[in-house]
Amino acid sequence: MPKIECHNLTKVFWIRNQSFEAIKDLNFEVDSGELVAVVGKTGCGKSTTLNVLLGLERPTHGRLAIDGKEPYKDFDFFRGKLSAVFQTDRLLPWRTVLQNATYGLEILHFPQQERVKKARYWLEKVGLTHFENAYPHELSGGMRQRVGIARAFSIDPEVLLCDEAFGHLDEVTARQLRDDFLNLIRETKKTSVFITHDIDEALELGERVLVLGKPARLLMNVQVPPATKENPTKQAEIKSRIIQAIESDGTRKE
Amino acid sequence: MDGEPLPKRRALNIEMVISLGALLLSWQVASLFLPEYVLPGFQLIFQEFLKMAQERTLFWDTLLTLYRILRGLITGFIVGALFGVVMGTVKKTEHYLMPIVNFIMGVPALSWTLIVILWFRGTETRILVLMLAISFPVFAHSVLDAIKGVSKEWMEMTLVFRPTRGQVFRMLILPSIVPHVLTAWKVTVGFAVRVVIVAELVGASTGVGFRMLQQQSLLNMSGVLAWTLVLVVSGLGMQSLISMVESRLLRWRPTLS
Ligand SMILES: Nc1ncnc2c1ncn2[C@@H]1O[C@H](COP(=O)(O)OP(=O)(O)OP(=O)(O)O)[C@@H](O)[C@H]1O
Ligand SMILES: [Mg+2]
Repeated sequence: MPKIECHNLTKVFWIRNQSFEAIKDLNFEVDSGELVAVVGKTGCGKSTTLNVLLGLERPTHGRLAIDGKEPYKDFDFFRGKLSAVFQTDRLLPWRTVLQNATYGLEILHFPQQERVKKARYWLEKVGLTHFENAYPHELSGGMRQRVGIARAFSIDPEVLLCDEAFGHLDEVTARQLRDDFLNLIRETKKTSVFITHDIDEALELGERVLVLGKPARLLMNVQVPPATKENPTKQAEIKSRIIQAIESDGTRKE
Repeated sequence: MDGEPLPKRRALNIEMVISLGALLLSWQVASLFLPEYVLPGFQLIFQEFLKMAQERTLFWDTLLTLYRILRGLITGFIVGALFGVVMGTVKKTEHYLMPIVNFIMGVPALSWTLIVILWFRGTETRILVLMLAISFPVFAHSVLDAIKGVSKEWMEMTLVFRPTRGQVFRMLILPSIVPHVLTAWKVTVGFAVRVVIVAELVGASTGVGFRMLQQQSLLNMSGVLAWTLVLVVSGLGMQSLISMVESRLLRWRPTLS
């Protein structure tokens, strides 16, 4: 059975009595331990899909289940099972780096000593050992995002969800973080969904890439085996197919 | 919540010494040319302080007034925070409670002073209710605004971990409303000092306000001024106390330097 099942998912927002479809009949599956990247245009409903996955938004129609349970309906079932890394770091400014990294563990009632031990382990993994007593405003954007990654991994979740996690970092920093992040995911073999609007990033990270149209629905489902990642021509070919799919989706609509 | 940086405060700066010094000097010079019931010189005001200290009123009445302010504001804070938290966390309650809060806030402090004198007999009850009436709406508003202002992004980040309601309140809402609550305290303390004096003037036989009235009926300008100084210093003292608490609690804020 797949870890994540999304079946005919539809999300409709109401803005001043006007309905607006952010997701329309979206179908996909993610296997346990798989790393799937999701690409799509700006505003196509990627973040909304992630919020449904996190149980923060209720699906209007259809069903989205992780381990057979719905994150919104069975909200508390997912205690300690999910983690997210967002586009902005979402660190709490009144907590130090270490305290931010222990935030999830504290919510899950881990004892103090274990919290600190686990958080330190992950801070070391992301290279922030010497900054545990700093406040977020004292760090660079890249370092703050690293704290966010440590916070997400610290609770050892079953599913890791990322929304443009490196989206507003500079190219070089983003590349570095992406590599480190990929290593952590491979090491821990977590089921992960990585949302991005950057096709190159999707092809680099994902073992499989889901291409979304607007409103969000599945346009393409591309396998990206390791051999393809090493082969620039093959990669460029896939990229142009993805761009074509997204573009033709746009022209069909207008 | 906005992380508006606060400039670092220094207890004494040279500009302050100069401007206050100039004010005091011109006062002293003017006092040489004007009668003492208009502008008494420092030596007279100082003598007044000595007298007040000897009669022990300086210590006890000041303490009493401060105690009245503090007790009233703490009560007002508890009631106001309760209102704010309920309005901010229980759906629809804002529609019912806010009109009441706003109505009470709309009644002028002077009207409250007269009302409590007619309603209650004991001095302490009168002043407590007065302080409560003028302060709790301010606290209710600031707590409500602060709760509404808790970042949606932080809330979502927190909810991913599936916290209990209590955890959300303790770990997210409480720390993010602290700065707003401290600001509300600074505002109300200044306000309370002014109001408590009026209440003591018209309805008490102790406290700084009453002593001031006494001196005025004796036509003793130096006495009135000495007690006024006590008030100014107490007000500023309480405010800088809050600032100290603020800089301790809000160490995490970026500072301008
Ligand atoms: N709570 C909401 N209420 C109303 N409309 C919403 C809400 N959340 C999102 N939308 C709308 O749904 C659409 C999809 O938004 P979403 O944030 O999911 O897009 P996205 O693919 O993440 O875009 P981006 O790449 O810019 O992050 C947008 O047009 C947005 O205006
Ligand atoms: Mg988005």
